[in-house]
Amino acid sequence: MMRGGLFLPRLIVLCCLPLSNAVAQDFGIDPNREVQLQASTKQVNQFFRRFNAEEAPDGKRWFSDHPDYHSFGIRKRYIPLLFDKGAGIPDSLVRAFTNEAVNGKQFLSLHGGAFLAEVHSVFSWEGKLDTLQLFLSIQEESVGSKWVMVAAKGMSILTVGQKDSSLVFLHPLSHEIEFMNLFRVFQDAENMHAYVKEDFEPDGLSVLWYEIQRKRVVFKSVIGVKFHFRQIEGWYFTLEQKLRPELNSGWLITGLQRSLESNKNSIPHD
Amino acid sequence: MSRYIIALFFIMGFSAAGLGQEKSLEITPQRKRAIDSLALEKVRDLSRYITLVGNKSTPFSEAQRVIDRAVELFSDDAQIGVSSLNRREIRYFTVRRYFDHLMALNYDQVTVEWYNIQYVSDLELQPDGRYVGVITIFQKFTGQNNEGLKYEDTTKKDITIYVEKKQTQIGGRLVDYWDVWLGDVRVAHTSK
Amino acid sequence: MIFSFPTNIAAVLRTNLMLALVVFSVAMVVSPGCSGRKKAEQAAQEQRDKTIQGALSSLKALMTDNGMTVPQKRAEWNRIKNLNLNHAEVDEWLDKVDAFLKQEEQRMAEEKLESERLAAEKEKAKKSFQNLLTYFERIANASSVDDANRHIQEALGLFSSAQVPVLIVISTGANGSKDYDRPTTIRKYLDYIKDQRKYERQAEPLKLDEQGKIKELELIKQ
Repeated sequence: MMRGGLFLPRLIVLCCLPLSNAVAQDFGIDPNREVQLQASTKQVNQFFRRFNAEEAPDGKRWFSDHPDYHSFGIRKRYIPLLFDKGAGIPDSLVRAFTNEAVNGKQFLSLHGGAFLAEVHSVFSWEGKLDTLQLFLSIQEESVGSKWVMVAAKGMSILTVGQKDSSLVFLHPLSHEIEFMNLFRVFQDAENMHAYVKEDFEPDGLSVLWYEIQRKRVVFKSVIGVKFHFRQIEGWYFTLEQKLRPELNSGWLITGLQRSLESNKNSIPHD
Repeated sequence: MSRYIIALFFIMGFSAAGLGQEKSLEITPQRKRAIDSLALEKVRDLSRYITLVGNKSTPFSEAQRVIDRAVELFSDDAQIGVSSLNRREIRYFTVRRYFDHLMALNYDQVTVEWYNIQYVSDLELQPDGRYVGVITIFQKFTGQNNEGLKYEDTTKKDITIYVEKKQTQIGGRLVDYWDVWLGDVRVAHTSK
Repeated sequence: MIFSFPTNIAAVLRTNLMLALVVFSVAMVVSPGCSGRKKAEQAAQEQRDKTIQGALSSLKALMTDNGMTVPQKRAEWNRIKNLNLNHAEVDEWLDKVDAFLKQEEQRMAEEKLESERLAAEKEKAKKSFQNLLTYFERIANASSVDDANRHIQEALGLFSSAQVPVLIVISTGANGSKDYDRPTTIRKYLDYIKDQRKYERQAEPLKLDEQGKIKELELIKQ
């Protein structure tokens, strides 16, 4: 039940105001722009609150004593507005997701686990620029919480070498010469893949740690952030920031998929 | 890569110390409103300092004093990270360097206007016992020189705030106060 | 046979009887006056005893919190004193109560002085703050940096030093407890008014030192 019944009208006003005819003023603040900024999901924190119906359209926080807090009806109407309209996610999928999240009384939380940040960063490795993806998650501490790195991917230093593994190898009788031919491994660093077991994958974070300690890698910048969510049972979605002068802007769901144990390979990833 | 992400979620499932666990805060809603208000005021103070430093009419000694006051609003290691529309990479400045850069801009007059939209996040508890939050504001920066040349841009600023209950001695008695100071600031240009 | 007394004995008996009758008669006439006096004396004594007991009871009550004011107690003490009962125990209590009342009267006089002093200080502080507010307004609305700095120097003259602490209340709890912003100094606060062109209002009366200068300032956020 909505107090004063003002939530929905305000929401409609926010979402339906046309901006295409707005004329940008040379001086002062453009009121149309303010409306757009009000509608934009400005923080991930705000995304959580809007998803959970824990705040009013104007951003005022609701607590458990507010009549619209966690409102069934408000969530059903608000959650679809948290999708990136340009992402091409079918309406039917959005509806199914919304219904399951709301009917199942499922909410999102910073401390809910199953929530991963993927940070695209630029590093300098011995003078050469390289891009990698750092994965972070929230770790609860005895007091408070913090973000911690859980993985690093995409380092060119770890990419597979060029040579065919039928051309570089430790031959099958290496044991008879007490493996003295190991010296070749250390001279052929680019083809490490040929000298380790087939399914071995070096741990990127360990390598990064080591390289940082040896001061061979210098952080340059973050160039993008994306979040991966699996907090809603049976669903996986991604969240990204879309900074644009439109009502549908800010932190929005950019990818959505049902998540089934047997369907591990179908999760979209760039 | 997709298998990789699933594996990461699997690992996190074991390491998360309680799914959906809400931290109980010592900060009541009423107190939170007062702290939000205080934090927003400090951000507005910062905007005013930016305007003063950016104006050529401000005497050099005054500008230096104002920079000192602006720096006092921040934690010692705070950085201002700025990106532009065309360049996603973030350039990092210390607070002092940011202001020095501002002073070196060739505008006779600088105006910083706020969009009447500010968003304050919930306060989260850090392992060191302090609370951290983020305030998001949108500002329109206008730089103008006497020849009429004008530069305008609109930026989104995500400003870290730290909150801690402290104690000091005033007039021979112990006084509790809420220390609110600013941390890293992410500045993203949203449009011209 | 009729027993008969000898005549002389009878005569004596008759005389004694007559004498007894006379005495009895006289006694009958005279004796009501004697017992009345005694009764009166007795009554007077009883009255006096009653008065003494009453006085003692009152005097003891004067040493307790019986709802009477100190002047009322003093008036009662005077009344009992003026009874001039001349009774050792009453006199002892009169002295005790007198000493007690003198202490109370001394305390009242001191409290009155203190109250007058505080009222005078409060008035002084109020005037001082009005004065200070005038400076805040001038600094906030100064037409130039030099103008503002001049007003700042003048305002600092109201304070015991430029380092006087300034406390700003950001919220007050239901039980009256206060939350403060980070304390600052008056010098920095006046500079803040100059930069930000705004100021806060008074929360508590000013604290002044012996020279009448402000030694601590508490403001409240608007």
